[in-house]
Amino acid sequence: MMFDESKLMSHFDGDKEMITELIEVFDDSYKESLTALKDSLKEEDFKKIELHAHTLKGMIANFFAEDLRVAAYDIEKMGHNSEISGYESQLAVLDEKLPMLITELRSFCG
Amino acid sequence: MDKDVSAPKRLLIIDDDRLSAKITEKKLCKQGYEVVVLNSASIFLESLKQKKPVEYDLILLDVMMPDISGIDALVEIRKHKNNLELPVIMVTSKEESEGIVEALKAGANDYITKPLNLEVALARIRTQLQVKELISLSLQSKQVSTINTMVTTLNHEINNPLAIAIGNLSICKHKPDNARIEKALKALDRITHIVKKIENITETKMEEVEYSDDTNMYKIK
Repeated sequence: MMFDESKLMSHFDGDKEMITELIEVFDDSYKESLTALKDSLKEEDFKKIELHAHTLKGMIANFFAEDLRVAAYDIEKMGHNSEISGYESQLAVLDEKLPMLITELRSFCG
Repeated sequence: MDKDVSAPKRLLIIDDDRLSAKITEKKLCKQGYEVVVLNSASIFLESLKQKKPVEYDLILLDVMMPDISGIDALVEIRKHKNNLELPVIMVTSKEESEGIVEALKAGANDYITKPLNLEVALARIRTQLQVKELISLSLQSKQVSTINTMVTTLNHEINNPLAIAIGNLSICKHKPDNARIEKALKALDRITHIVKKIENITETKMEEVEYSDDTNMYKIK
């Protein structure tokens, strides 16, 4: 699993109905942030890179998917330090694995 | 007008992260709070600038936002409302220690981290709301005490010369007496003088002194 099941259930008091509702919000929201992040990486707008990566990190943290959270945080730090060389690998992790996370979460909630 | 103390407390969440804001909103609503979410501080700041009444008891304010940052929003809020009138708790990620310090210096009351630990958040929210309520009650009590003291002062300073004026004029009704009229006029002058002093009163010109066992009055300098 890409996320920590027990932390997720503890965080939401075992309320799978609430989690299911929030997965759908996450599915919409992350796509918007990820697109904005990619645009800001193309433009090399460091402040926006930091902001969008930060927002993405915050969303992911709610579902306790630590590897994805770290990938977003790494890009956030790159933006903060105005040094983005090597961002591609972390962006690829997010691009590839966020849809998989959504699928796993939906499957978990049945 | 004072809000009904039994009404649910009204919280404002300002966070561009719609998901995190929704989670916080749902958790706090379950705890009995009324919660409003804004994804940017600009609307709220505009209403502050227009001096519209603030309908919230406390704000949860995200530190990092694209439009107006949490710190900039906080600085603007504090131009209009101090930290006792409108508590602000910053919402930040674990890594943002610099942002926390900056926010506390700018007038934030406290902070909580994402993802939201409900118990910690509730404890901090309750603390801030209790302090706000205690301060409000203390101010009300001070206002009542001030009014009582002022009434005692007016009774003492004005009633005495008033009694002299009335007494002397009453006697003059039956037997005109220039000396008594003079006393009455002097007493009325004294009242005029006291009223003028009260009109121009400031705190520095008043000294609270004991009048009786359980009452104070203001000695007007």
